[in-house]
Amino acid sequence: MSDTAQTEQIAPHDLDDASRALGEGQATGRTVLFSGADTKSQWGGVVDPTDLRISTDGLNDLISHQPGDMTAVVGAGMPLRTLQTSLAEQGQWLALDPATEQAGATIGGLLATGDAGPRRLRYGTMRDLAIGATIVLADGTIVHSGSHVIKNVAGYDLTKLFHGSLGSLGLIAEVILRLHPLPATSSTLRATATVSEATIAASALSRSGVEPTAIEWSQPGTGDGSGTLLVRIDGSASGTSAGSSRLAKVLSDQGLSAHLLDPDVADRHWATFAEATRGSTEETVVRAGALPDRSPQAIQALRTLADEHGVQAAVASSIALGLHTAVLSGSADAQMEVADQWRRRVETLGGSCSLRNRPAVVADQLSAFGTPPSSAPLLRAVKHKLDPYERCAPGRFRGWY
Amino acid sequence: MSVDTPVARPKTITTQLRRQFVAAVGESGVISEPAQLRTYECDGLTGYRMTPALVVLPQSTEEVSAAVRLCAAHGVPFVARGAGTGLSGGALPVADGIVIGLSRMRDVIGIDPDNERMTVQPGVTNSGISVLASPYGLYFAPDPSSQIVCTVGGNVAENSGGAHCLKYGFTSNHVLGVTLVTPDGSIMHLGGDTTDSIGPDLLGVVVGSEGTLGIVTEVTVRLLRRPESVRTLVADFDSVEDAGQAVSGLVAAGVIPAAVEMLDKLAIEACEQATGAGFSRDAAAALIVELDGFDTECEADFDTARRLCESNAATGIRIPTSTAERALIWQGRKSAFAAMGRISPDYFVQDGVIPRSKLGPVLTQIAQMADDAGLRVANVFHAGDGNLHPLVLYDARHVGEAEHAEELATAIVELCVSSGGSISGEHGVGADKACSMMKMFTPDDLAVMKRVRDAFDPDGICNPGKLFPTPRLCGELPGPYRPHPLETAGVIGRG
Repeated sequence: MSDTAQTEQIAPHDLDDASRALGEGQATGRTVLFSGADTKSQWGGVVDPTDLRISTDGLNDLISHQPGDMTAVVGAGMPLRTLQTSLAEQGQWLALDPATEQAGATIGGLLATGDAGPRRLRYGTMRDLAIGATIVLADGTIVHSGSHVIKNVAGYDLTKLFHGSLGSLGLIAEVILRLHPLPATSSTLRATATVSEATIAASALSRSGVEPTAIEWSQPGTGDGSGTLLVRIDGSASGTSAGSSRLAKVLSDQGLSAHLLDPDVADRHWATFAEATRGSTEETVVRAGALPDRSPQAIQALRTLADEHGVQAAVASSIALGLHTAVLSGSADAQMEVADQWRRRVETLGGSCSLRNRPAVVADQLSAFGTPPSSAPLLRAVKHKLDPYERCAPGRFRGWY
Repeated sequence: MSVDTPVARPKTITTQLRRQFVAAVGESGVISEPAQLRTYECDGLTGYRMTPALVVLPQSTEEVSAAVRLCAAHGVPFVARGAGTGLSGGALPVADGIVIGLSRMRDVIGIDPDNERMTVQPGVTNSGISVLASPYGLYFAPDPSSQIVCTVGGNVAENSGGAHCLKYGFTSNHVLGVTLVTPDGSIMHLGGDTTDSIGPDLLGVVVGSEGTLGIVTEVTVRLLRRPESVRTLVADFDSVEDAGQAVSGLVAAGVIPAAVEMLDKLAIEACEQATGAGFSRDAAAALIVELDGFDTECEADFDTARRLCESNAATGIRIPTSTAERALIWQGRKSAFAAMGRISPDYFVQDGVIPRSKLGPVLTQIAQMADDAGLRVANVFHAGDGNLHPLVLYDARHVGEAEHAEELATAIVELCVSSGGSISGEHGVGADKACSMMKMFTPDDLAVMKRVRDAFDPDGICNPGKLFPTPRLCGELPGPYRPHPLETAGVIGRG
């Protein structure tokens, strides 16, 4: 971890505070780590010990909510679950359901990490939902990007630049959000399927005419190859009723037996699914992405490697999107071997992998990201322009920039 | 302008350098005849004109890279250009610079229906992608009104959306990856096969950067399934405020239409004269509301929309009974800009955005400003996302009226900004609104955007003079709007 006994910790309460705190450190080159709820502090490369830690705890206001425009402006430190409670009073929500929500994930952290949940199939990620942001750069410059309207092409979309930046470019202080109406009802179907069956089923579901909100597949660390397919549809009562019937028929046509879950049971299944992506302190969490139709190859490669190295590998996949979160259990050396080799296999499939939470020994020895992309020189150039003294989260993208 | 008027050959393009461009893209890919160069002197914003020193027409990423490397080596500024339908002067050439025309790059690299994506060269038209995707039940959601001729490369540059952005998002949401030739000629890939790219989202910055960060030579787009059901209605109102209230009612009811378009009385009159699409000339405003999706859900939302229009004082509702009738309604809407010529000799067009909840007050204020100025303003716009296209009508034959009209157009877009909106929803900033950027962003905001630009283009040779305010641009007037010939012919629309 990056914290040391010498790390000064502050929590600015407004933009000026944040600007001052960062700007004053520029002259002395003080390095800095930004933090929210720390639900994803291990994602990416291990950050070197920093002189300063700036928490967004004090930047946690709901600055404005315009229900008629379906927009809201929030401080980066606001927990998503707190925001959802406020928005629900007006029948709206931020259409995001990350696994880290219950652990207190903040709006700024969600933008910085690109974290999202199953319903990203329908609504996207913060890349799609954040329409503006206020950023504080390492030199204290306060920058506004975007605006309060969803259709806006004026200037560079710096909000997107900060999506996935993992705190390496500056402090996300405020975010302007596009909201959605809360769905009136939600239905979930459950079926048992192998990864190949689930991949084919996801394609059939997308051709069904119904617009599923989430299609997820999961498999425990050990098993016979079968996993659980969960399909969610949101909408009006009549829409979800008719939609789930049709989706069940589609699954049946694929040879899968689907069951409509009671709402309470469905909630438990989704909670279990979220839990399956986290991992314990002794486990390595690897996030992989490739083309959706390559999911069977990606998962088979993982299974083979896990068997070879005596590792248990639980998988939770956004199967329609080709995104897989694997939680590896076993000896640290074996976890590292599986993570490293799986990443190479996924890269040969045209995809990529990054490491999330993992034991210290794995973090110390295995780089968080794989082969640098062809755009790495540009990433370095952008980093140099925004943070020339490399003060923000040093080491986060080690090997890339 | 006479075709044989001599154009001074800029000193930057020597005979030797021209030969090098020929070596890079072939003799047939280099245009240097003055008359031919004038074809490239402006885009859809015809008020700004600049004849380029040379035009090159590459056919591959490698040829684009070779041409850009020559520019970088010799300090020659370059501007990428697609079909030239842009409305903000984004493809305006630079004096002593070259235009890199992408019209020959129309290859389809690959269609991947299983993964619902397609990779094309940038010269493929927007609607061409949907035509190619159609056999698989797929389509490309962004639909700018010029989609029959505008190219996807231009869509990427301008992040140009269209009527269906409200539900389906903007071009930026539908571009999965690009091949980019950076201003030093390097070739790199942003985004791609993985839904979640790792690291800061450079792709998101390049989309909508108006050709100032490099040249996109391949685009991978996300394709959507054709919706099972599409329902459309046209509702008439006695005032634009009532129509605005109906839109607010839809939002409050949690209905997200695929599109909500509004035309005021002047726009209706122009559209009817031009297309006879069946809009009621008695109405002060008309709303086109379109819903699509899963049939049960679509029907339920359509009933809600119809009911909300009725309860918000709609004076009449027309529901098209055939695909042809629905298509005519959309043709009427998309032809609105060109149709203005029927009711006014000249006009300026704006592209401001306001928060949806302020539609009524802002439209009232625009009407008051028009009255005060003694000019007419027609409104035709995307009501669902607040993207206004006020058309300031005037007659250039009257001394001083053009200047008067432009002042009003500028005041309207500044009203959009002061109402919490934006200076552009889809046309871009380009050369047209570069000076207005200072109304929306602080000097610090612009300076940081400039830092990002410098990271991509340290020598400032990639479409310079666009997007950022410069003394030269801010001292010039763009001149009157003149419709593209294809607009006049009713083939394409605007906004």
